[in-house]
Amino acid sequence: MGARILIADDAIFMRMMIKDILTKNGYEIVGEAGTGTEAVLKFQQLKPDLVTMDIVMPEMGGIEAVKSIIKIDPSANILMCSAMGQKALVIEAIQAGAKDFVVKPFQPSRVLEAVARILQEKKDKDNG
Amino acid sequence: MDRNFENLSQIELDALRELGSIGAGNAATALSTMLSKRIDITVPEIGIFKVEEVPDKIGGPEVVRVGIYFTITGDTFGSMLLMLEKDEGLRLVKMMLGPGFKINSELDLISKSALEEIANILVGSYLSAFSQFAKMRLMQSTPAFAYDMCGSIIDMICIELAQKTTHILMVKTDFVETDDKISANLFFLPEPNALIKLIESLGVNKYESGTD
Repeated sequence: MGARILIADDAIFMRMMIKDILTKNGYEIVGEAGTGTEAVLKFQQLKPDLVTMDIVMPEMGGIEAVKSIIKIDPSANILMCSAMGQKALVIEAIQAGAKDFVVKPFQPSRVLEAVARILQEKKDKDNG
Repeated sequence: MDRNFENLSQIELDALRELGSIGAGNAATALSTMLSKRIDITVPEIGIFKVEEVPDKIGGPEVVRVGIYFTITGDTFGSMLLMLEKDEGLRLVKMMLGPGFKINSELDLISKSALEEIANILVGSYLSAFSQFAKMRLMQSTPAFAYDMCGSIIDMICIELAQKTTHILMVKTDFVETDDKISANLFFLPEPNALIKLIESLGVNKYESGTD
């Protein structure tokens, strides 16, 4: 069975695009969140293997959400997916605990590579 | 059915908002690189307004602002407009030119040119992300500068649009630089004819049937 993924993005359209890319490649989308707050809540409920996280979202932004999720589970796997590719923000997201950063607009292959690499690292860690 | 602004579906509006968000995010990155400062953006607002309502939505018809605008041509067409307060604009120029550079309290040639260049880079990176995402070829005109009442700035842009439509779709994002309290609004105003092409190009409809 494919890894279980939670998608957090305020745009339904973007969630559908990411969902489409991931399901076509054998991943299971267990939930979707439209705000950072919702992402944290759904992370607790669903315990996904990986979260894709936008940065600019209403209520709570993506970087805040990463911090909250890492507090709940320090080994959480989060992939940032945002158009905000500024160095300072990328560094802040990685320091907060995100594993990688994909800048929008992206090629589907870029998302797939990042997801596969993060999950492989998790597997290696679990096994050894 | 004749497709126009008034019958866009939720998901179509959402896709256009996301397009604005991706454009603005990349534009913020470019501005941030240019100024070596962190730039934040707000979640884009999208709205459909009557042409005569637009000045109100942009700050009020009589409020005086710096406006720098561009005509967009290519696979889609419309206008992009950057608006900001004069004093904030001058602070932005100072930030760009460095502390050694004396800035007049009025908009002189150098400040105007610097603001045009800032707008050029913002709009250029917005459009390059936009064109990648929507798989469209887009071109921007040279910047046109105005320091005038919002109503007049909008009139200049809308005269052409208003001949073709009674309503305007507007995507607005705010850029914020916290240390020097500078904020600017960027507007994307597509022409109605270009809109359907844009939505088709985004491939929104392939998702519409499959939603749960």
